Amino acid sequence: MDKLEEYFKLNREAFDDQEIPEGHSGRFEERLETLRYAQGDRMADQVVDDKVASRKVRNMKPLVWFASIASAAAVIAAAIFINKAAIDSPADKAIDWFLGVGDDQALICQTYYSKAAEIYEEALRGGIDESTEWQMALMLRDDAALIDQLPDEMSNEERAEVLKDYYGALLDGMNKMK
Amino acid sequence: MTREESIRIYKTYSRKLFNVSFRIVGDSALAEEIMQDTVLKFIKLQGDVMISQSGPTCPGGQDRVGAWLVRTCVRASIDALRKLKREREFLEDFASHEAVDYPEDDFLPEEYSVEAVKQAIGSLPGPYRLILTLVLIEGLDYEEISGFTGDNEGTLRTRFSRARKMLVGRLKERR
Repeated sequence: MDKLEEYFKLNREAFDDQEIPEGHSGRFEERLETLRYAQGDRMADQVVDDKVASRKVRNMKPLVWFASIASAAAVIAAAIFINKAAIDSPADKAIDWFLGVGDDQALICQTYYSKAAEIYEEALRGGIDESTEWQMALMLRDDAALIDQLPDEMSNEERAEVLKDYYGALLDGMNKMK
Repeated sequence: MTREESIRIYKTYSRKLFNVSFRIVGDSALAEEIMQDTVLKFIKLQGDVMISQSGPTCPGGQDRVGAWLVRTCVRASIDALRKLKREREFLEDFASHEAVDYPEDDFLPEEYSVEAVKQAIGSLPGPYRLILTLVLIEGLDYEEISGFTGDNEGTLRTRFSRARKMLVGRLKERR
């Protein structure tokens, strides 16, 4: 490599100093929503209401956390009520579904989907009845992914905690039902 | 790919890709459009290239996602440049500018600021500016550039050689 080529290699990043025109992030997000809508992604149907987006969300953490756990608990309670035999299982040791996952939110979601799929397949192999299969399939549906609903004001750790609690409760329920 | 992942990809690569495109097309609005097209294309393809926050890496230090994005952005920018210029103008740029033969023996690039080098590159005719950008800044090899421009590698090497001489000449003239 000659002197000129070495100079450019050492200073490569310094050449990326041109600023992108103001407002580019907003323009990109609009195009992203259009793409997701075209791909049939239901999340993209949510029109970002300016009033909602600019609303000051104060102290949402306990409300969101409670709502997410309450909804998960409601699903599990309904499933267990319908499948009364599942209640007779011995007290299970609490399973840490997200052991070693840390606070990576995408990894938490991937772990949930992966483990939920494993439990579902195991349940199918074990010959669950149609009603239970239907209940588990309902629990697997994630039409409005929680990760996209959590307010931006929450810290990364808080978001990870909410996701683990929510998806952990779902996995516990599915595990009891299989 | 979730919405959050898509936005994370955009935030990670937008500045780099914008600069890649801007260096080629020279227009900020067009460069932004091409940059966003590139990211959206990646998202639409659902990340055929493995998404990883920590490598694996390719030669040159870029991760695989970044390498794919840069190459796609370069290709789109060159295509856009062709559309902006008529083909005739594109070819005339070559004929009208002969490189003056400046020796490089006593040339010390480290004596020049990045800003000075950028200005010197910016003052060069389009095709020479483009080849220098692609080889020296983007780190592409002739085979890849041939794929983008349609020129054979021999032509590209000759063009690069002339472009370097012009760059050295412009920098020396500034001193």
